[in-house]
Amino acid sequence: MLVAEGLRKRFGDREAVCEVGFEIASGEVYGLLGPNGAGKSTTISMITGVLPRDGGRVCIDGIDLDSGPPARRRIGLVPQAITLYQDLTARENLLFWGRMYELRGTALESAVQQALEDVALSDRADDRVATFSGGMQRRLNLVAGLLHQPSLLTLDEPTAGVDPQSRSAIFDLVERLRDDGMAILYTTHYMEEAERLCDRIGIIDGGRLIAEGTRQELVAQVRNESRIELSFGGARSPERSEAIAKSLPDVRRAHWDGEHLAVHADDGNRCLPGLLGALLEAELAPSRIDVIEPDLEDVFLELTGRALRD
Amino acid sequence: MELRLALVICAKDLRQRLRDRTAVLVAVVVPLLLAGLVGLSLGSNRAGVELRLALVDGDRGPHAEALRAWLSRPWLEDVILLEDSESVESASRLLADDEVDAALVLRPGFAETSANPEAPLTEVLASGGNPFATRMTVALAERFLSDRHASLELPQLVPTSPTGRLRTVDFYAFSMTVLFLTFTVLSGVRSLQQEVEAGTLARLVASPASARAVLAGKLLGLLLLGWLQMAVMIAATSLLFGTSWGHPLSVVCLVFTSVWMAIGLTSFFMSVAGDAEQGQMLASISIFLLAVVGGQFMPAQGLPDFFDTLQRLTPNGQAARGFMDAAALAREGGLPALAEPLLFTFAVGSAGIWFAGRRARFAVERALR
Repeated sequence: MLVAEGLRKRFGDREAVCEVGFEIASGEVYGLLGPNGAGKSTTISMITGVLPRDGGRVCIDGIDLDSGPPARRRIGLVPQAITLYQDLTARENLLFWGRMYELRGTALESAVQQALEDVALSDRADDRVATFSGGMQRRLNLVAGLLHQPSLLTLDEPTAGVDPQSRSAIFDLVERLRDDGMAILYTTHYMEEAERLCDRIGIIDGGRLIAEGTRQELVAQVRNESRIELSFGGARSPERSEAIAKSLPDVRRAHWDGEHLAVHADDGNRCLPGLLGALLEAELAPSRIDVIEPDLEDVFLELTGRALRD
Repeated sequence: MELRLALVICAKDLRQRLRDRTAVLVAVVVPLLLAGLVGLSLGSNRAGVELRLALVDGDRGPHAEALRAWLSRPWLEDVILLEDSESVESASRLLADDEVDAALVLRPGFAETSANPEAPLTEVLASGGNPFATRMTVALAERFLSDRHASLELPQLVPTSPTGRLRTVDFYAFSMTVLFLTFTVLSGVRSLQQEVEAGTLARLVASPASARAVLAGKLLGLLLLGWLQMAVMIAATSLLFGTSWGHPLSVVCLVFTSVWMAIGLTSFFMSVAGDAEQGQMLASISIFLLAVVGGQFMPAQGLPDFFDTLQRLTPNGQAARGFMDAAALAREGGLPALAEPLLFTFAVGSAGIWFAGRRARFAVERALR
C-alpha cells in the first residue's frame, strides 16, 4: 500500500529527517511515535507531497508520489492543525475539500452528508466553523480528509487538545476505517494512543527511525524487566527502603525519589514476596504497591535515554 | 482538470471575501463617502467632463486645419468647447480671466514635420492649478499626433493660471478608488498569508491540484475581487457624482493593470513581513505613505513640479493619473497616450507578484517546520 524509502529532509543546517523508511499494508494502522520535534510531521509532509523531499521515494498502491494527481488522490491528509476555513460553514468546508479531490454532483453531496453524520455534526452543518468547539473542529478536520475515500489516511496527532468524548469518537472512527481496509499512518506522542490503535509502531527521534515493530516486539527489544512502585504513607524514615531493596538478590536497581520507591526486577511478581518481607521486618509497611510491566515509554527511555514528553 | 480546480479555489476565496462585511465597507462604502464628502464640499459643482480650449493657430497649414476638425468632431461637442484665439497673448488673457481652461498653441511649421525638429512646434498653455485641463489637452494633442504618425515634438506645458477646472469630486473619485482598491486587494492577500499560517495552503498543496493551479486560483480570486470593486466604484461614482471615466477600452485596460499593480504591491509587502499581522501593518503604512507621495489625498493644484514627478514615481499615483488621462481623452481610445501609466503599473504588479511567488514556497516550508 504505502512504501516510503530513505526519506531525507534538511532545513538549513538542521537535518529534520534522515533515511526514514517503512511500509504500511491495507487495513493496518502504523504509528509514528516520538516526542515533539522528532520529525513525525516532516515525514508526513513528505509522504503527502506538502514538502519536497531532499531524498528518498514514496509509492502509494505502486504509484510514485512524483507522478502527481494519480498518487495524491489516493492520500487523505489530516494535518495536526485545524485546517478549515473558519468563516465558512461545516458543509461549505466539506464541499470545498471534496471538490479539490475531484468529487462532484451527487457523489459529493452524499459523501459530505455521510461525513457529517459520521462525526455527529449534521445538526450543525450550516453553522460557521468559527462557532464550533475545539473537539467539533477536530472531528470535522478529520472527515475533511476522508471524503474521497483514500487508500492511505495520514493522521498527524489528531487528538491534540481534544476533549475525552471527541478523542473516543476519533479512536472509534480510526478503528472502523482500519476494519474497512484503509491503511493509516498515525503520528502521536501519546504512548497510550499508539498502544491502543497501532498494529505496528515506528519510534522516531532526532529525525531517525530508531526502532520498529509490534508493541510486543518493541518491548522485547529492550531489557525485559518489571517496575514495582511502593508508597509508605506515614511510615518512619521511608528512605531506608532503598537500601533494603538493593540488598535483595532479585532486584536489579532501586531508587527513592522522595515519595515513592521504584524497584526494577526481571520478574516483578516473583520478586515481590521477598521485597515485602524485608520491608515489613524493618517496620516499613507499604500503603500502596503497583507492579508495572514495561511499555513503550520504557522502550523509548531505553533507546534514547529520555522520556517521550521531555 | 487543473482549470476546474483553480476555479474551485477562486470561487471559495470570493465567497469568503464577499462574506466579510468589513471588506465590503472598505471596498465601496468608505471610498464613496470620502470622495463624495471631500469632493463635493471642496470642489466645484460643474457636471461632467468639459474642457474650454483656446486654439492659437500660428501655422495655418493643412495639418493645423486637420487638428481643428479633429477637435470639433460631433461627439466631442459637449466635451471640448473650442475657441479660436489670435495670439499667445490673447490666449493668456483668456486663461487669466478664467474664460478658457487651457490653450493649445500651434507654432509656424506645425504642418511641416521636417522643419526644425529641435524647435517646439506646439505648446499647451494652462492654469498651473488645473492639471486635469492640462493633461486632457496634452493627451488630445498626443493622440492627434499619434493618429497622424507625425514625428513632431510633444507639447510643452506652460502653467499660466492658478484657477482650475478639474472637478474636485472627480479627482477624489479617481484617487479614492485606486487607494481603496489597494486596501481591498490587501484583505485578499492577507487571507492568503493566513492560509499559509493556518496550514490550509499546505492541505491545498497536498491535494491533486498542482502548485500552478493553486496559484492560478488564488490570483484569479484576487483579480476578480479587484475588478468587482472597480466596477462597483465606477458605476457608483458615475451615477452619484456624474464622473466620466473615459473610453471603455482605456478604462478596462487601466482597471486590469491597476488591480494587477495592487496585487503585486500588497503581495510584496506581505511576503517580506513575518506574518499576516505584520504584513497588514507594513502594507497599510506603505500604502498610506504612497498615497501621500502619489498625491491621492490632495489635487496637485498650485504645488511645484516636484510633486508631479513624485506622483509619476509611485504606482498608485500612476494609476490615478492614468484614470484622469483616460477621462481627459473622453470617448477617444487613446491607449498610446496612456502607455506610461499602463506599463508602469503592469511592471510594478508583475515584479511584486514574481517576488511574492518566489517566497511563497519558503513561507509554506517555514510554517511547517
